[in-house]
Amino acid sequence: MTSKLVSPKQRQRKKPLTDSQIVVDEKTQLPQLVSRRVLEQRYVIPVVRIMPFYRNLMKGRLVGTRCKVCGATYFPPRGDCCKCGSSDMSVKKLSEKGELVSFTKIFVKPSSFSQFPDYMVGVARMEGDLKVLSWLRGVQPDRVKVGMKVAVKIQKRVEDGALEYYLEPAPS
Amino acid sequence: MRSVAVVGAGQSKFGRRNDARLDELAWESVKQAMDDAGIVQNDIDSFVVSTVGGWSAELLPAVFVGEYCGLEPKPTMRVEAACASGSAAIYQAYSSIASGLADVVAVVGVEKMTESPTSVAVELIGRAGNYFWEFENFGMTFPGYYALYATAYLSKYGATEKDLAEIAIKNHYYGSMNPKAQFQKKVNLDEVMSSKYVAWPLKLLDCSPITDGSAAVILASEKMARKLTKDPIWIRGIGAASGTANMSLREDFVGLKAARLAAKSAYQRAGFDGDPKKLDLAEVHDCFTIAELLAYEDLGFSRKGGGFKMAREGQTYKGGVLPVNLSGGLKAKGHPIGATGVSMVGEVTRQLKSQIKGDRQADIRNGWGLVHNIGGTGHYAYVTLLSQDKGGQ
Ligand SMILES: [Zn+2]
Repeated sequence: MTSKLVSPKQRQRKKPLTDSQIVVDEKTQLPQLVSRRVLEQRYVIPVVRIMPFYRNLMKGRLVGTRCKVCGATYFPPRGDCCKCGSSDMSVKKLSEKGELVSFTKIFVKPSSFSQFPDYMVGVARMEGDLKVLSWLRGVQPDRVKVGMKVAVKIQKRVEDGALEYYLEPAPS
Repeated sequence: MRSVAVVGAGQSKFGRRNDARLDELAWESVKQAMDDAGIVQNDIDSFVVSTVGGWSAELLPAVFVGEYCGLEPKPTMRVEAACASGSAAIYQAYSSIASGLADVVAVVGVEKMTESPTSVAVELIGRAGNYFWEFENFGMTFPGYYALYATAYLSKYGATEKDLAEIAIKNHYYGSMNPKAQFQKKVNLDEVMSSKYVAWPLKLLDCSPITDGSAAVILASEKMARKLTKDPIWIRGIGAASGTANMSLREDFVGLKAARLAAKSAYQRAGFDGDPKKLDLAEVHDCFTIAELLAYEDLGFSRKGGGFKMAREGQTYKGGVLPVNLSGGLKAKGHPIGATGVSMVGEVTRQLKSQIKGDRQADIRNGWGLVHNIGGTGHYAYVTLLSQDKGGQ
């Protein structure tokens, strides 16, 4: 006597089908579709032509390349000389000493670097004129000056195991 | 080469636009631009879409936008030149009209950066430049790159972080009058100086924001422009240049060589002598405050090392040597990457036609305006000169 009969159609109207991917944005209260398709992306990049660079790095040396035909020097290293068209390149050891051209300290980091403490980046002009961009270590930001003497060092980085070259202050 | 004019312009509200999809956002500008030019889709020969993407869905934005805007089956392409994509798209449209391949071309710049979290946007912009040597191991960011320029500039010329702040204060002042700007509020020196460091010496209020937005312009040949409007704004010259991907290959960090080359080429093509007093206004690429100072010098508005003095003396407000970024600039108007260059050309067009409401309308005396649009950290550079006067012949 008490329960009312409802048709299947009416039941559907009372309890609509829902889709969990349509959500309301908290700030704006506007409806959004949150995509279910997630992509993880990792690049695989050839290093065939610059393997001498990595072999030297593993021995603790930072090298660029020199064209055997026209003598042009390059850092970062490369396998082809765009100045004369030759692909006959030799290793060119970089001077370990240089002068800081500029620097910054990165506070807002890319998400893939979130495991690192805030880091300093410097660009140095090494003796012989090639420039290097890398992290700048071993100095407080308020002690860094454009023009200060720096040295290139190589180490295995703790956080991600990368064999990294970095700059640090050098006695002038 | 045939003369090319801007005959219509449109722009969406810039900001966090999670009320619209990429194609819907583009339509807002396309519709305005077509209405402004008094044309419909059938009058358009081809369209160029400027989107950088990566943070938003749809990998073929040109056809996605084309379908929604009713522009299919016109020829199209997506153009990429990082933050200068908009100018690159205009360059492409300009070239096709100048060469006689087309008479009416629509340029649509659109970006939906907030479809991904902010941290992903920071990651993707940082990856631009040189991924292999500078991002993979050193996690460079876009503010980080411009910070290298800021450090070197401040150190060489004795400018200060307060000089940088003057740019933010000016651009927010004008942004406060722009109903389409992301930030329509003024900021003071204390607020800028006490904002958090993002990449020393650049602070949050030295940086342009992450923005969604669109802008569109309609370009036309002389014959079509004369039919469509009584006051076409002529593109008198576009100059473009590129820089190295690696920062370690830059000659110095106190100016952008690509910008200087682009300016020289644009000035030559337009027959402009570079005297800033002959311009009524300029929109320059202030993705960071330091970038606007570099622009003053690279464009020849001031001598090398004198840009910060122009800022200190307020010479780039209305009433000064040359008003710069009356739109609020990227800093306050917002920086939807692919839309920025198109928005700049639309803004200068409307300024030269005295269509801006209120105090941020420039005094139009000579009928000339300039757009300076940089991609990456001087990886791409475009300079465009616009005039009420067709010139030549
Ligand atoms: Zn060679």
